[in-house]
Amino acid sequence: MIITFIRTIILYLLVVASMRIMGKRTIGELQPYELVIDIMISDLATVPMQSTDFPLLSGVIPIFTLITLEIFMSYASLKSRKVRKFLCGEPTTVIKDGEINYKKLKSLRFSKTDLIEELRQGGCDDATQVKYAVVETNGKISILLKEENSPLTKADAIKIFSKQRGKQ
Amino acid sequence: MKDVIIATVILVLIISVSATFYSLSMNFCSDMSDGLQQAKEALIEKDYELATQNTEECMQVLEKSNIWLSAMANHEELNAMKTGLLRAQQYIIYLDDKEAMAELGELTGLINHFKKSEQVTVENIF
Repeated sequence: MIITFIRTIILYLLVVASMRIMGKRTIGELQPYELVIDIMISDLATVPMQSTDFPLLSGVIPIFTLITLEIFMSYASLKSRKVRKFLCGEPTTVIKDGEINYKKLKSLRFSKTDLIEELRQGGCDDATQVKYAVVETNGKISILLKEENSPLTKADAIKIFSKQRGKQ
Repeated sequence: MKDVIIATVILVLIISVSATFYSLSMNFCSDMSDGLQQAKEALIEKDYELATQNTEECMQVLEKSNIWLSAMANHEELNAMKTGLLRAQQYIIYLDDKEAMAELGELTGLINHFKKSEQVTVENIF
């Protein structure tokens, strides 16, 4: 029993250290492959934690290997655009000037309903109001509304007020 | 850059530890196989004293390697080796040739399986 306790402490520290090395990003910001690596690490740690028949190293070595590969790949993607494109893919524009690009939507396996749902969450109920909608590499959709549909900003208010003062 | 240096150090450590374990396990397997073969030959010649001595040597090899072996091999497999060796020893002490030979044969199989599973081959990788 005490062996399991000690093993659990060791593996807990190892997983925490590995997550620290991997960086401070939240789940929503992770690239899909990074999320898979995180899940793999946690899964690898549970096997030697549960069973004392498995040597601790059978969990430790794959965890460390995954961490090192992750660091190398992140560094390579930071240095090379090609590697970044291979690992993360590229953002895809699915709406341009109010027109939905169904071909790209299909290639992303995104339905129109999904897109409209995302638009609603982004504060817009019609695709024609959108200037650009881009599916980012982490799967999130960035929406840029057309000028006439975008909310009033402080800069707009200043412009209006300065125009009015000019008239007076 | 700091992370890359840490990763490189970890990678070098993993490779060196794996290589060390690989070489240690191959030596262990050859020592055990030799000891078991000698015990078998001694049994064929009905030299029970020599057979007991050989199994004792095998037990010493196993005990000596236990520290690093338990860190890398499946503990169930190691326990099977230990109990098999103890059983073979007892059969030899009680002059039961057939059972002793069967037990030594099983142990040789276990050692060969361990050796095969540790070798870097395409079969093992896939």
